[in-house]
Amino acid sequence: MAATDTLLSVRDLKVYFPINKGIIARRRVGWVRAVDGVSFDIKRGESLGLVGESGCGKSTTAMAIAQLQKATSGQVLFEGRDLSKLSPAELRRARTDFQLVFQDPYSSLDPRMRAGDIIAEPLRIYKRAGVVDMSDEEIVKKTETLMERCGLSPTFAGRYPHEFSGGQRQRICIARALSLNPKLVIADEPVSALDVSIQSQILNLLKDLQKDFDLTFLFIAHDLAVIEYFCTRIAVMYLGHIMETADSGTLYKEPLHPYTRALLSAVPLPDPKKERSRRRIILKGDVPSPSVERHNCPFFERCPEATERCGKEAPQLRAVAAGHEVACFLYEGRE
Amino acid sequence: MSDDTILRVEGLMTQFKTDYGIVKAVDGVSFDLRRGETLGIVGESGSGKSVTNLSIMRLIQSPPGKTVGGKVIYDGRDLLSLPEEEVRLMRGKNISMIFQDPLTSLNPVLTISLQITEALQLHHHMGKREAKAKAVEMLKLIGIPDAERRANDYPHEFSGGMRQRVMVAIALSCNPDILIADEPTTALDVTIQAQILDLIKNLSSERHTSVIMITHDLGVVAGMCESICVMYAGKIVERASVDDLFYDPKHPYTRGLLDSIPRLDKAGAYGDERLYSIPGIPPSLVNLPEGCPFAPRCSKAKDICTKAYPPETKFDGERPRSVSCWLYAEEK
Amino acid sequence: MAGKKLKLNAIATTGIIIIAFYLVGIIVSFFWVPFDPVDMDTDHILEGPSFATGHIMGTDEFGRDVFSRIMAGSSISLVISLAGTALGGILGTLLGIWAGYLGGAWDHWMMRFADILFSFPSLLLSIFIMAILGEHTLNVVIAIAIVYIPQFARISRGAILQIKQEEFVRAARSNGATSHYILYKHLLPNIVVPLIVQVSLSLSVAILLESSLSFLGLGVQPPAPSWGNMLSGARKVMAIAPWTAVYPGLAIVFLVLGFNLLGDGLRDILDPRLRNVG
Repeated sequence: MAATDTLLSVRDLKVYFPINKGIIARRRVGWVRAVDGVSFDIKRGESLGLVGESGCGKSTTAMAIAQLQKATSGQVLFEGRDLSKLSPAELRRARTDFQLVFQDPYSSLDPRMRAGDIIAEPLRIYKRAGVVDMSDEEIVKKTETLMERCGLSPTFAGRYPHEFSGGQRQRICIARALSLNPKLVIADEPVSALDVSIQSQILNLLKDLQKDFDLTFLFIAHDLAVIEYFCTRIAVMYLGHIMETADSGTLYKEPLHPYTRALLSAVPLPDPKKERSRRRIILKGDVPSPSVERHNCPFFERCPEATERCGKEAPQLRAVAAGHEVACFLYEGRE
Repeated sequence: MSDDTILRVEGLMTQFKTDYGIVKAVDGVSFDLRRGETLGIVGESGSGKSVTNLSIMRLIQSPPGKTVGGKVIYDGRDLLSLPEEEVRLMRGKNISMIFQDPLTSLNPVLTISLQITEALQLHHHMGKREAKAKAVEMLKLIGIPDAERRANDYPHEFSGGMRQRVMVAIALSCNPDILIADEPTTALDVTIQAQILDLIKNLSSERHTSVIMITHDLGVVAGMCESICVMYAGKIVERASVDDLFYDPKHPYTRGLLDSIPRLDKAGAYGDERLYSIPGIPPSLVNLPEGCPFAPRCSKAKDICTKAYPPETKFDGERPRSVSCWLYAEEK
Repeated sequence: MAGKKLKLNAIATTGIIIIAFYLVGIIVSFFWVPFDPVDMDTDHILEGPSFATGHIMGTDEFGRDVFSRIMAGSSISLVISLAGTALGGILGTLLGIWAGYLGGAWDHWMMRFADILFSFPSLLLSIFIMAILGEHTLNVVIAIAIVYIPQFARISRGAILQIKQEEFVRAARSNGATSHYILYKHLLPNIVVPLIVQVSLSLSVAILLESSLSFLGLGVQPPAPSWGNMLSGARKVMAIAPWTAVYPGLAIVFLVLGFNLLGDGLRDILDPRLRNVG
């Protein structure tokens, strides 16, 4: 694989949040290990899905990659450059290559700005910084084109966010993300807050845009069905670690990691006969606290197939087939 | 009313006064619930499913809301016309509810034990010690480890999943006839959701409790419910047994919904294919136009669809089945 | 803010009417007053209100027309209060928004400074400041400003903290915005609402502060009229000439009431509307 094929490379990313106690003199009593050593690559044109339940660290990973959250350690290489080593000015310039679509269409738009201005804002900011060379009219024109492309009538450019529905707001968010012609779009739960009948509209839109604009996606969600539909590759996260990475069809048909299996079996299918006949793996207990330091497998306490070794050592993420990696001792020796 | 029916809702109508006009949140909803049956009410936001549930138990805040019509017949009596006090006594005892957010449903300053025993003491007149023992038993039943000690913990010391399990336990502790679960697992992770739904299923089938499951998740109803009502813009547009609904949906909205959700069991087989999507957006409930509220988005809409609301067409079969759509009704 | 239907409720409307009343009086007073406010007329001291003499609110201990002095005093009182509140508001808001946005040690120390100011009762603090600066009208403005810095700092900081977490802030950062840009273009416009309410309520207290300082002889110096120093002068003669105290007192009361009503009414209108957005 030529190195230029890889757009984003994440190496051993860690994001720890300090836990401070005390009112007058605050001392650090521990760390919340939100992201605890995550590594993956995204190739140009791919859509990588990061899936996991709440607290697994997927959103924090996305924010750290986007340089909106300071990483504790690790590298984020975009087209070979380590983003965390860039100067503030260089980073600002680099941001034009990766843009975000956020989860909450109600809070990701400034309620005091008109839709057209929201979409044009990135262009205007970079125009002032001298990076974008467009006239004001050109910016307005581009905004209108983007709105149309995202399924919004340009006549709505003068309206305020509260005058739009949730799905329309998300379209505004997407149009804004595309305004700088980014190479990578980081979508953090882009459809989770939308009604079912609107979700498919937005997912279809994203797929169309990916094709037309030659986009690469990092797609974060907790809904496995959505991820399986949209993404070409999927990484399953648990307690700050990646447990398994595979192509989307493969993950569904041949899940290897016990957590992936439990996750898949827990997803309710809109098919009564299948639901009646399936055997669910019901996990016991709850997700353990991410503030406990551990050197064993994060899934140890709840794993139906845990062995003694799992309680003592932490398995590494290893490839067991082409494009299929798993962090589990059950598959040791299968490489 | 067959012997088997435990709840009958007829023509329920609830409205809200807002700055923009009157919102007809529930506009003529009727359904039956049999003893031991699990009924699913499915709809998106604004469909009226939650308001229906609250109306049944007379929990609509008035003002600005008001139940303006219909009957809710339980145990031979119309709940909507009973004095407030009598209905209040039924809540928790005959008809129990669990809601979406377990954190706000539990009192943060009382221990879990106290909250369970309160229900028991109130409705079953148990003594304190007896109630406490029963509470611990309930906690064990719902799978809380170390139940004796944890009974004295406070809600914030439990995780979201555990709290919801406690809510289920409290709701079922008094052996109600009906459990109404309003989006009980929407805020929970999918593996926890599986635990909760499993729990509800087992406990309710053990005790022959009827369950009304309100949700927007079609997967959940496929696994939990025997019959389903699909709601749109305050009305029930289709009602069928679960198999009939999923394998032979009649209303275009139901069909559209089923076609537009990404199917996990189709993983890897989508390729370049796009999901079906219902065009347009759900209607505003203020000033609903004449006719069928789904007509603007319906690929099969006819002329009459924008003029008059279609009557209910009933189908024969083991389970009650009906749809409100001009595709099946005779235009007169 | 197009499209905002300012359906003024009764409270705010009443407040506005009252304030408008005073504003009209002030504007008129620039062009005409019934009598010269500082002109002493020893022939007519302590005369009761009467339409015949033209002194509709009577005269004070120096024969000066009470009504004219009230009119003249209103412009001084209002200008001082407005200037003081504005200055304090601007400084306090700047302090608060940077403290809220930067967080950490900055937040900690800036707020401690504000707390120190806040811990003094406002009147005592302003007396203290006047004692240092000297009894001059301009210094009253400064005193009021200093008293208000912590109020505005608190409110603006709290408002910033609330919206700092909103995703549109993160979105702006991902779009290349600097902290400066985010603060002034995104955050500040969104916290305008609680600030407006605070301004209105602060004005009412500012008027009281100014009056109190003038009453104590620390504010506007006689013979320039201020409601406060009018009250001070009326103290001695109140028993026999109650109008010398009653009318200035009422003038204060009603203007304060007006600003309070406006502030309360605005809070009712603006806040829930903001929450209803989305």
